[in-house]
Amino acid sequence: MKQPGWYAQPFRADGGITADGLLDQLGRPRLSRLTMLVREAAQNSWDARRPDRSLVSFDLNLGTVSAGHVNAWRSLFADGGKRGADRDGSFRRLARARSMRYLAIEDRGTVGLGGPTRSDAGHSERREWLRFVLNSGDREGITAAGPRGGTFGYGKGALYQLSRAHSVLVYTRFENESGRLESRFIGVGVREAFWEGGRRYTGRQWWGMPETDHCEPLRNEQADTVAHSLGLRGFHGDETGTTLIVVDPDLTDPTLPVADHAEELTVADASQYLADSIAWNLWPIMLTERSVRMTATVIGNGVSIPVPSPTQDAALAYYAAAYRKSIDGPGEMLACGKPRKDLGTFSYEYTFGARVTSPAARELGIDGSPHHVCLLRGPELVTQYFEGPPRSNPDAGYAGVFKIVPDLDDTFARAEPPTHDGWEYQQLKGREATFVRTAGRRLRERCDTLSGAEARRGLKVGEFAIGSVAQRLGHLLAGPGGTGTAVPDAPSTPGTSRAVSGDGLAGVLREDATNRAAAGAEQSASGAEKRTRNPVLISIPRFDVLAGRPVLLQQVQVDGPDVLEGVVKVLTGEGRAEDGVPLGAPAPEILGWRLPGGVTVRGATLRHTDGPAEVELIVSALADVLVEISVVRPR
Amino acid sequence: MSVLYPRLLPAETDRLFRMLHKVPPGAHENVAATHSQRAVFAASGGQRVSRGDLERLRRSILSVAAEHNFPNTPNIAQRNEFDRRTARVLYEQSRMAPGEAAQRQVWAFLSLVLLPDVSVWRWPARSDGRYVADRFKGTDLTRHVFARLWTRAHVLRDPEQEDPYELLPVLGEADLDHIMARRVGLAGSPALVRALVRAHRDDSVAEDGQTSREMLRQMLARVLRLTAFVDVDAASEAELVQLVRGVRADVRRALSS
Repeated sequence: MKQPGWYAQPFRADGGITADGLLDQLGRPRLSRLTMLVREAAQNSWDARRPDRSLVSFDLNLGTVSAGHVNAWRSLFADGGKRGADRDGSFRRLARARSMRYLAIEDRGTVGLGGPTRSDAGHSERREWLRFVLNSGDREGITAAGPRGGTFGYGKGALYQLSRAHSVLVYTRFENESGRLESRFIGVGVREAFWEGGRRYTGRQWWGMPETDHCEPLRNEQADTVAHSLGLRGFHGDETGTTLIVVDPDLTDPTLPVADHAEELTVADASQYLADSIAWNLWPIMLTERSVRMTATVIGNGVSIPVPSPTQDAALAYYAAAYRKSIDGPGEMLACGKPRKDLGTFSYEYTFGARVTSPAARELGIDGSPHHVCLLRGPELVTQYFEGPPRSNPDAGYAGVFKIVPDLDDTFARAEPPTHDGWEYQQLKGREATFVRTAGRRLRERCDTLSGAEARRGLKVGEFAIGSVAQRLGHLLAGPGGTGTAVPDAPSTPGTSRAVSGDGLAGVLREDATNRAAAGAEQSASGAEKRTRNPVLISIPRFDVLAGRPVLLQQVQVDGPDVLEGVVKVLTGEGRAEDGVPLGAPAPEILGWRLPGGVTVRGATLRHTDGPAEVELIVSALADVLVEISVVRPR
Repeated sequence: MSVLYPRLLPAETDRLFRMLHKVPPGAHENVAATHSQRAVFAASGGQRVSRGDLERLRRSILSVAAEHNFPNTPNIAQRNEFDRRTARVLYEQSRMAPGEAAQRQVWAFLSLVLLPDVSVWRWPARSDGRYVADRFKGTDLTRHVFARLWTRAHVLRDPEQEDPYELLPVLGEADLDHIMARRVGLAGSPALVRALVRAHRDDSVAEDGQTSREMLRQMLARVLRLTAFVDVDAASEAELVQLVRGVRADVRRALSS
């Protein structure tokens, strides 16, 4: 039987595109690789949803190949095929690597990659395999199928760009024409063009069953066996879908400017970035009330990272609320005047206190309080966040949603660059360009109104020094210092420090020895070996009524046998204890102590004989005074 | 625009204070000046006072002093009356901003350079021949010969009244000093001080001075209990009057029982 291996695509007599040319088709996107990957992969998965399922699951798993599988990975790359093919040495490096990182993108509830495995095969309904594995920019059969996102046009370039080896493993299962489940596995590399043996190769390579002029995937049991040996998650029951493995993903921190030695994100940070990116780019299709929706999970090194959702993230909640408004109500229609045409529905929510901090959202332009309109087309993946002027209060913002009317979907789709992250009227002509341009203008107008920028422009603002106002308001910040008893966390009474020098300790022991000699056996040994810690006031005093009298109860932690005295003083506005009670004015007094078990001792002094305990100091409660309660050891 | 006053440098302050002792009594007029080489102005914040203005200020205060037996030794009543009148003259004529008045060096200039003769007349040397530094150097503004007067006027002045300075003569020297110098916690809230003084004036026990003073002291003690948790700066003047009247009534009951 033939062995699987790498197949390199040669240039044909009638020309062809080099692999790097393929990668460049995405252009130079404004968005980072990680965000591009989330947007493109999710769009592909969403477009591939099965008509008979209501859930599309989209799971990202970032991790390291486990020790049990790493050999299978190494041998896959060790068989480099044509020697010239590995010009950058990335396969040789992977073949020797002690550990390998990967990013698995699994979608389930999707149709999988079916259809012919040769691009020159006859006309067929199913073209997913052709579009994803073989061709580039193949849009056949797409526009007819209604509003779809990107659908394996150029967007898949994002996958190869994220891989340092520019390689992706594809493992898929689908239902074929005869209604049976079929699995396929293939490795795809989009690498540099090279010469070998007098022939030039495009740099596109496949790992599978090489034929004379193309490469067939591994199928069924053989595909499942290889996938299993690589540690990929299989398919359960009649599940269909696709697992894409980005080999050795480039986790360069997307928030940093491009540099030769940019810092790498940790797996945990990268996973968090992916989760945030999913939330901010895909939230409309993940709303729980949708009849067909996507669920997403992110796992980083085996740890599940929660994907923010409108139920947890305040800013997303405002966007979801605005979106629901446009679904439930008629919404506000933004229209073009000449020619007359409805463009799309606009709805918004004012936000307060919602602040966006995630770097993934910042990459989309949202930072701090949102002042953006989320632009949506038919597929309802976020196209872009349109930035309006901020509101004057930094805590206040607005979250808008603008959705194109269905009959203009195609027009706006064509205004999108290959990365689907904006609408550019320059790509269109005539009326269509007018519609796209007008939509931008209407959005700006709405944002100006919402932010108050319009009103601000109409208002003359004078410049006045605010010093005198600040002076008048300053006292609001400075209040009397404290309204309760301080809770000391360290011993403060002098003379009771716990630090005992060698000499002092000897003194204590000696003194104790004489005491014991004098008092006989009644002196307990334990009390002598360590000094009792200072009493500690616990929390603030509370009001209670004892014997029909309002009192303050202060909890005191006593460490051991001790003699304690409660002290209460009235504090004045000068922050000091009062020097004398005003004539005829009431003065607070210590009424007694309450011991555990409810026993009450009268008077300020407590002679505690037991071990550690919590006791309560009872102080008479007076109206309209600030009192300070403390506990001291009488001299 | 506020008016800036010269600030006498600390070393010069000490030197001039020592000088006071060397000048024979009655000759201090000779060292008075409207200018010192060792005084500076704040870099910004207002207009520098002119020498003419300083000269006019000196003459005004001199004439008040002259009405109260200057340069001869005054009696207690004359001293008190001099303080009341000077507080008003100083406050009105100097147009000093509170920020400027908080500068001790400004006061050192006024007492040691501009008005040394009036200063030593008002606070003559003790029996040991020494002058009291606080009265001249501005180290304690509640004790400085002029700063304390300016502060009284600033606190007690009520622009709402027909005579804005009507509260100045209400309290005797010792009582007012008790509030301004000893009860700094209260003096920091001018509206409260005015309410206290007004309540004291309207409800005077009169006949017996001792009782009147006792009443004021008791009232202050009780108000101090309240200011521990009441923010008097947030209260309106009417509310403060209400509060002080209530306290006053409590004190009266306590004293009569």
